[in-house]
Amino acid sequence: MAKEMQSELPLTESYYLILAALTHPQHGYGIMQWVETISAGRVVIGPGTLYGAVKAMVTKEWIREIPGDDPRRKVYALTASGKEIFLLEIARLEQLAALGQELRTELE
Amino acid sequence: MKTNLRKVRLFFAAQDQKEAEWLREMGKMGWRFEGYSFLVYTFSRVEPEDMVYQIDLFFDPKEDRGEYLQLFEEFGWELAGEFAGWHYFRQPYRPGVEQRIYTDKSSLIAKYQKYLTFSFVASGPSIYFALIWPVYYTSDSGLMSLPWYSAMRILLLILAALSMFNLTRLLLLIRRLKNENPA
Repeated sequence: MAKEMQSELPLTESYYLILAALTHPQHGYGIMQWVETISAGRVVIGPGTLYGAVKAMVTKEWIREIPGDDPRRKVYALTASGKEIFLLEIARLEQLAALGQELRTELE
Repeated sequence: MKTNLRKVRLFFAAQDQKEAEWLREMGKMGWRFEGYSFLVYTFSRVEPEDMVYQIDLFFDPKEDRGEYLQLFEEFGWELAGEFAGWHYFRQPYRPGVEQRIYTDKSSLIAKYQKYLTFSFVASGPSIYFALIWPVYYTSDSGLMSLPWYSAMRILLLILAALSMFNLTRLLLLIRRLKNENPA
């Protein structure tokens, strides 16, 4: 399972941030607002990109729809495999970041 | 004074940004896009406006369309027209604000791959009837003696040629996007 999941990595920045946003269940527009705030406006996700990403992640079963108050605004949450892929990606990025830290002193 | 305008224009699927840009220019000249159907664009007379347009193709299951449109609406996009799955969205121009609906490379490539699949399915019949069908089925059916046969044949050939040109442009665009730096 973990090996299968490794082949999905690296995630795009949009995918990474959408999974991060869904650590707490949200609807589509909420995801975009959260991403924009957390990245201090550096990452903006358009509705086409967001819609496609959400549909793809539902198909992969990384996220799932959960009951919400408004039927038109679907609320999504991470699934167990969504958490797993997100944690794997964090580990991968940590490794890269650690290397970067090491080399930074040498380069600067 | 004229209050409505119809214009015939042919844009290939790979040219959707150019098409969107043209609709924006029409708005600046005081013509608001009202709809599209079979190569005909309809406009109405308005005060000159700077509206940004974005085009997308939706061919997911019908029950997902509400969610899709809701999302675009919340992002400030008004549905300006729809034809056979092609959706035309617009919103007022805002300087310094991201106004593309596809904001990363991989989703942009996925969008054009979706265009390609759709175009392939849509152009299948014209290619079939223009190129394959006549060779196998019409030679002995007496169809060729009909007076409109050659006219129809030419029309189908033009249609098939346009379809293949459309597919080629999409393939080239996708390849170009893939060869650019990943993002």
